[in-house]
Amino acid sequence: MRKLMLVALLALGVSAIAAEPGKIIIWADDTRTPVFEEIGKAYSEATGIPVEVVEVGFNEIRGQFITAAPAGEGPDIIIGAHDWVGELVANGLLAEIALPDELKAKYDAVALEAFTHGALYGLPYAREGVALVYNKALLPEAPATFEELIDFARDFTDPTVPQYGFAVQNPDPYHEFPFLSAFGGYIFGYDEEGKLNPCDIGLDSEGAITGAEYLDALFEEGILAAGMGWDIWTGLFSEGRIAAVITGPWAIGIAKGAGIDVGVAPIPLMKGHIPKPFVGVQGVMVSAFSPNLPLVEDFLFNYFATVDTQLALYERDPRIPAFLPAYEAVADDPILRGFAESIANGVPMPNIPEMSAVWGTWSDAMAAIGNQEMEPADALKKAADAIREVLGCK
Amino acid sequence: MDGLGKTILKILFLSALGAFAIYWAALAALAGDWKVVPFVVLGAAGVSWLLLSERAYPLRYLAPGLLFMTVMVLVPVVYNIYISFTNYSTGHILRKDQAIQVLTSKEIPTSPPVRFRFTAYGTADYLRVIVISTPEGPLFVSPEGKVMDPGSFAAPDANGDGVPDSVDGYPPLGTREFLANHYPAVQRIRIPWEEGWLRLATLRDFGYFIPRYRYDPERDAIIDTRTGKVYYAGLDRFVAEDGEPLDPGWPRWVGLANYIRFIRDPRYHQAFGRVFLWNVVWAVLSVAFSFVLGLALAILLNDRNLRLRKLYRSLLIVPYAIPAFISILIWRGFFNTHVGLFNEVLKSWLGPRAGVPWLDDPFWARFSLIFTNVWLTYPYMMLVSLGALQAIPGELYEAAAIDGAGPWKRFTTITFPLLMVSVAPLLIGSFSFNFNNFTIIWLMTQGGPVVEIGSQAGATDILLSYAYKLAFYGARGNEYSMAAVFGVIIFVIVAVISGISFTRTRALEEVSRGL
Amino acid sequence: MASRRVRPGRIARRGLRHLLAWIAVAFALFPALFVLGTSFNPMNNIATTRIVPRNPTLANYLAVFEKGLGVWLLNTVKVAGIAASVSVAFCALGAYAFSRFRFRGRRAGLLALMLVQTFPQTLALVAIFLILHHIGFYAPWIGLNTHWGLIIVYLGGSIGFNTWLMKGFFDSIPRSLEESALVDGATPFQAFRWVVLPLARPILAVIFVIQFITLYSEYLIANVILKGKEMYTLSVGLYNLIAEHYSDRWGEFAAGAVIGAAMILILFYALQSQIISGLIRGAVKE
Repeated sequence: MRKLMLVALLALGVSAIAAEPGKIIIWADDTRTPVFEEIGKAYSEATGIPVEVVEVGFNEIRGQFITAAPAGEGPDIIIGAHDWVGELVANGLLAEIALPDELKAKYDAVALEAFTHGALYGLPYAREGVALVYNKALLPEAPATFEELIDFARDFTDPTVPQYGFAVQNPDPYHEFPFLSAFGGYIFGYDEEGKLNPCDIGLDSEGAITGAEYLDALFEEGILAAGMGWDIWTGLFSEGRIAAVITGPWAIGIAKGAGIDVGVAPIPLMKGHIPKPFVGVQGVMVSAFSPNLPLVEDFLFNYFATVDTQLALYERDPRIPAFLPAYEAVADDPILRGFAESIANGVPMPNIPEMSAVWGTWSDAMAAIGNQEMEPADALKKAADAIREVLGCK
Repeated sequence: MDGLGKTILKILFLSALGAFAIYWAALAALAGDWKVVPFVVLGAAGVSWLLLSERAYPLRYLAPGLLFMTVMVLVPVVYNIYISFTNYSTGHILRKDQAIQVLTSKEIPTSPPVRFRFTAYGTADYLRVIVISTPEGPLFVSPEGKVMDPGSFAAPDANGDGVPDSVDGYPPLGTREFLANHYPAVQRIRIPWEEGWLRLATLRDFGYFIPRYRYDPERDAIIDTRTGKVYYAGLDRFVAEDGEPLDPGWPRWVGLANYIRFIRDPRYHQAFGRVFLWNVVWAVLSVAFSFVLGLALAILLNDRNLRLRKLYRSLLIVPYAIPAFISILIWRGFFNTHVGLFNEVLKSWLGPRAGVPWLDDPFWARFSLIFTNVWLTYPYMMLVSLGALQAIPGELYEAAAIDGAGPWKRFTTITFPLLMVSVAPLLIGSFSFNFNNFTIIWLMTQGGPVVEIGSQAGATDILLSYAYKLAFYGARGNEYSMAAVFGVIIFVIVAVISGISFTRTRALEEVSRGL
Repeated sequence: MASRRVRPGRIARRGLRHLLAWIAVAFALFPALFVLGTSFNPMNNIATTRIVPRNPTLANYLAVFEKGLGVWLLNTVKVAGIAASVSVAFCALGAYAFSRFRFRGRRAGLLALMLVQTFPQTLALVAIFLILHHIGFYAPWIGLNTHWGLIIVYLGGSIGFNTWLMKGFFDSIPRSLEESALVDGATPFQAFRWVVLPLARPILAVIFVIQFITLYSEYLIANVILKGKEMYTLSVGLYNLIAEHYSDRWGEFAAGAVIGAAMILILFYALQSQIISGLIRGAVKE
């Protein structure tokens, strides 16, 4: 009776869009929303379960989910990146996903690993990472070694035009990491159990410093321009003023939209070493406060983890599918293959929450290197020490 | 309106208020939220007192604004102060009961999965029973999750497959019908089974799951069902005897610990003085320059003999009409050292080597920020000055003209002092707004350029952006409680500065009362 | 007050004034013209921004309307319009009390009004979210993801400074008129409603415009409270349109901003005569 009256009283108002049993709510960003709306509709038609897709900006999802989920205002499913998993799990906000074996076999193992934090907390859909993206009109063939690329850039670069033979987004540790990793640099080492060890920080390891010096020389010579932000270089690239750049699949649409004929290749060898870009994985995660786990799993396993859905997502946003049958269907695309080959050399971006203490300080160090304010060894040593202190590793 | 009409209106209003108060109190009571009831009652009583007591007369004018301010401004401040005394941060954001719920609902999936088909019997409005087909025969389960005696049901099974054709005359429900009407109740069911439980696993099956953790209320501990390891409830999470903690935890009261950390840990206070100094300079110069410009333009445009002044006024508020975040991005593009418009112009005038590191050098980054902010803010100052200029009685000017005062004299003796009466508080307000103007700093420079690696504070960081960096790029993701500490410190600083300025405006008020 | 004689310096001075006005207008408009140019630019990229684009196109306008700009505008006008109007009414009431009545706690109240407002709102977002979550349980129509919920948040946040501003203005209005109304037997409220408010029209209009514009471009709070495209206000819609798409949607974003800014300019142009009414001078001279 009490419950009934409560319902009656509440019925005077409108229903809020928060997780409730018998209805699936998805937070997706605007690129992914149409695909989820489509499969949501199909799911509703088949089962009668309403599926509501709410558009939330990609960068907003994590923060708003942390606020909303414990209050019971959160969704059942969110779209997100694998490096959110550590923090969200520590907060107790994610439900484990029991992926059936036959589906597990269809997924890229590294992508599943990226969403694993003690248990599987997300269903990946795309892998991504940076590669060498070049304008075929200016640079017909991707060079085999970075030294060849530098030689080319020496002739081509002229900041007064402006035109650049080669660019990398900076200060931006994510895009500059391949330089450090090529020579053996890393962020977090692994402990004996194979888990990331937040106190083994490799930012000032010998390899990282060698790599940073290699990069530093390019700034010093004027081949690379410091302060080359995303909006700046994409503009220049679109106008055919940059021949090659280290970037990811997210830039392809812009380049194509501007009519640039782009090629994609693994980042060339640096003094014979293979640059290892960060691999990022995007996927869906399920709220620990969802009363709809059976429905959500049914929806994800039968409507989301399908070749059609994954290809539809690929159409809207060409990232490398983590779902292998979908990847095979599109693998003959040279751009996709270029990225896939590049990240085949890559390392997963750490998904532990401690990573949040790394980005800002590391970025400052890369800015100091780019602006020629500090020697790479000093800058990285200082950054690594500061991070150790924040993480209490001293 | 006459007295009688007013009285009737008051009675009607108070009756409506009473009805609402009863509705809300009932709702709160029914939801078990007893804490809310006294607030509703007190609120209603307060409003009645307001309308009936003569002594509360001035308060009648203030009440509507105060109500919203209390709820939407004061409560968040109090909440923030409260958070600053807790350890609310990554790993400590749930309530304890939520943490227990999250932990105890973790399951170990059996491999291969064990699944049993189920059939629901009833109608759209009524669920009679759920029959789960287990290897040990059908399991009759009530909608509340109780296992029932099969003998108490009339359950004919013509083909003998273990799935009754009907139960007590109720037919089996289709999946759609079941989901649409009974899913909310059935998803809650946990039937004890072997070492774990059966629960709804797919749309057609119940599945067998073993819980990973068990909660023992006696010992207030979480027990790992596989290893038997016991995690005792600590102050803010469950910890095993060997010290291994279990995520998630919950926040706890830490008293002044965060404030002590702020004072003791050089990471927090080292750059504080430098950031604070720039923060004050930034807010003062932003307000001063934009006010001077805005006031000058207001005076210019206030002259009715100036033709086109309506057009000028409209065009001059354009910077205000464009959402700030878009114009900030445009300005940032202009200031870019390599391809920005300003340096391109400089290069075309002075040769290819010319150029200013607008956003890459501490001095120029500060300059660029203030310049942009003046552009963003002067229309506001102009608008307010325009409004305030209208309030100055013309007779004062006439008197002054008779006394033979020139324009400058009139400005300094009449316009400016009178203007300051209404505008001074606004300047204080603008100061405190700009003191915490996170958006422009974040979008233009993110606090950069770097001053020192390892110190989060860049050359243009204000306290709020510095706090944001410390709080959100902390050791394990978010440290909301440290952000709250900074919030309180900033609040105190701004409040003190504003408060001192406020007492200065008192003098101005006295002047105006003399009129 | 101004003499009608034509002096030689007068024309030069008038010319100087126009020159100054035009310099100011150029300063105000020059970045805005880039926004305008970008909105017609098919390249859709901030670095290719120029005042006169090559191959101008209306495609950005069509695209942004397709993405929901019309609904966002309506929502914004509703939210900002209601919140600004009610806020002006509340502030006028409060400011009148602070300006004219002498009651215990007046100074302290004024001070509190100002100080509470100085708390950085960026840090209050979580609390505001939780408050609306609780309110929404009892009164869902003013809970999360409702325009009314957003309106009450805006009302709370805007009262302080505006009351202050208006109080200062009321202080500078001579009391002689009200006093004569009171002598004629009017209640204080009647004196306020029929004498003070008409005199205060310019500042009411100014505060309305300021409040409207502030709410018009507010996105921090709205972004946390409103979910889903149909609920967005203009700035939340534009913000989410451009976030993560700084390169490929710059033109659409600019088109949205141009339309948004045009609305503000129209509103301002329409209210100008209210702001610059000269009513006070006329009234006092009587």
